[in-house]
Amino acid sequence: MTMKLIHVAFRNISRNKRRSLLSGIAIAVASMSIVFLFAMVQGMRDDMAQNLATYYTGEVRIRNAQYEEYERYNPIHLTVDWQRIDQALAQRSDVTAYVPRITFPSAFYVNGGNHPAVGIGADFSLEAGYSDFASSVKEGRIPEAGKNEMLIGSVLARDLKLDIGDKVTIISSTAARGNNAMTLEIVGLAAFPVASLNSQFFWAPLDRVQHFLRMDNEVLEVLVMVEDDERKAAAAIKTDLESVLGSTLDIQAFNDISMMYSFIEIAQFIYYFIGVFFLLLGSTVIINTTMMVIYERMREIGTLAALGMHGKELTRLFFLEGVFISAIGAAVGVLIGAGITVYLGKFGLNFTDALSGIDMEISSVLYPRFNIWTTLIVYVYSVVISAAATLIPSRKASRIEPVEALRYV
Amino acid sequence: MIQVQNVIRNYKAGETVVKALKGVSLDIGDGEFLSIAGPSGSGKTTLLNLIGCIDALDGGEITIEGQPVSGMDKKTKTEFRRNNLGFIFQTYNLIPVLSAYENVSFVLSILNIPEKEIEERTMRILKEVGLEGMEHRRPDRLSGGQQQRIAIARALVKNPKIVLADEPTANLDSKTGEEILKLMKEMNRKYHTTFIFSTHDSMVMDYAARLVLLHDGQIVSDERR
Repeated sequence: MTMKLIHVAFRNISRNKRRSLLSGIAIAVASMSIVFLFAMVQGMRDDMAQNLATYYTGEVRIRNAQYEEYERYNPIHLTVDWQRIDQALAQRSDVTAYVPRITFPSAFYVNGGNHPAVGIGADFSLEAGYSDFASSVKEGRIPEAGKNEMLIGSVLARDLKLDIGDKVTIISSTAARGNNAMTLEIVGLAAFPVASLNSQFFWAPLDRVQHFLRMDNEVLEVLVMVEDDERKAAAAIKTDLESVLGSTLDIQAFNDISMMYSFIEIAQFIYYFIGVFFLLLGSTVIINTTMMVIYERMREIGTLAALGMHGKELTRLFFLEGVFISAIGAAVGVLIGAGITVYLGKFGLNFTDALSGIDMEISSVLYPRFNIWTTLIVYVYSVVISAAATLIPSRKASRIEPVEALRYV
Repeated sequence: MIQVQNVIRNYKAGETVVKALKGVSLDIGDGEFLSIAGPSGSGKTTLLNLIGCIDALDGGEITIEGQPVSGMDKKTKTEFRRNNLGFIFQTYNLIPVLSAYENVSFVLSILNIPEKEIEERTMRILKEVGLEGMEHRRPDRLSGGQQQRIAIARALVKNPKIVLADEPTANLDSKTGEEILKLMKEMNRKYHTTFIFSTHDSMVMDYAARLVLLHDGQIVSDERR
């Protein structure tokens, strides 16, 4: 009997092709949007994690314990002991790479005026083992240690009409709270994936920045890459370093540091609910279609009931029709969504204009992240929700009295 | 076999109560070929629906094979129809997406009969109603007469005790209608199935072995031929 019902339900889909198509399209559009939405959010999350780890905080960041409290005053005197941290981290098997950094606010004295810029003092020999830093150099080369050289964000250079070979005087407050100036030669133009890095930042050799800021061999932060869970690693490193340096350090995983990343994590969770609403919206079309189909086939319902079909069997018949439309619609939608995701995952979505001037750790070009399991879950999710929605009108078929149905014109 | 005792059925039409059957009593024996005749609104279809267990009584009792219909709940009525009754409708009421074969075999599927037996019985009955070779055609590719033959095959394939036909020839031309009546009569003779059909057509009445005339919800004559 069930096989026969499946057979009839499947054939019934073709009775009014246009209407079945409309219902299928509604489910397909909803499923496609959800697949793409989830892939986009996952892509944003991965991108932000990658940018935070590479350019801003590492997977685990080590700073002076008091730094955060006085951050708004630019407390570059609140440093960490790079040499001792280096020695301790070198012993750890869960640490894959680490770099010292000094990030400091400054002003460029160019064309008789001051222009704000953020400097990063970095050890470029260590940076090479930490990330693919060299690939960010668009033109020129990476500055050399011991030389007054800088790598400048390409947008910042363009805005200030600077180019390779130009010399720029930078002004900043030192760790001793005095002012200092230093002239650096631009040796390279950088193009980072994050817009703000290109429009506000410049990079200089760590030793020259330490000298300029009167910081001796100290650094402001150490960015660490780890093998496994960042939070667990941060806790382990903290225990390890505290035994050497006492409670002078603030050691946190990147996902606990960035508020934006936390927002994306929350957004991802919220999007699961938005996904349900998308599908419920799509399901209203299938509810409407099933309702119309029931009224249209009222006499048929009466005939089937007269022939001895129980209410539950009638419900199942209409429910199966909804399931088939949902399954086909969701399959098409998920496939299209996956296709779009894979395509954009390769070529990316360019948000350069939209993100210009926005200080976020998200790349200007975003790549949605295709995940087969997420896609399969969305498919099952789509079929279950839209099929469940079909149950509402389908149950009506079981409540119709055969005599009324046969009389229905 | 079927005892109709003082049956009353009223309908509401807005504020007005229409008395469709006003105390109808009738005994129908096994294998009868009985026509319920009368003008429109006389209560023919209502009586057929009540005997067919698809409508509810307001008074009186109908007993089929010793079972009182008024005591049956919806589920029992459905089971009873499934096992004992066959229906033929004026507008054939076939499932348009199914072929002739599938329309007939569907009834046996409801009864959970093994597939092999379904095939044998369906092919046999389609041959008997003259649709051999047309098994795979869908209703929209068949004439009205051929569609009604499928409906007859569908009603008879499960070997019901009773077949109820509501104006079975009303949508057919007189020649085709006569062929359908001959077929029904032949099936009645062959399977000894009780046929009860409603009509207001005098030609159809002529074929009946027993003619019950209804007028304004009451039996005005009951003639055996």
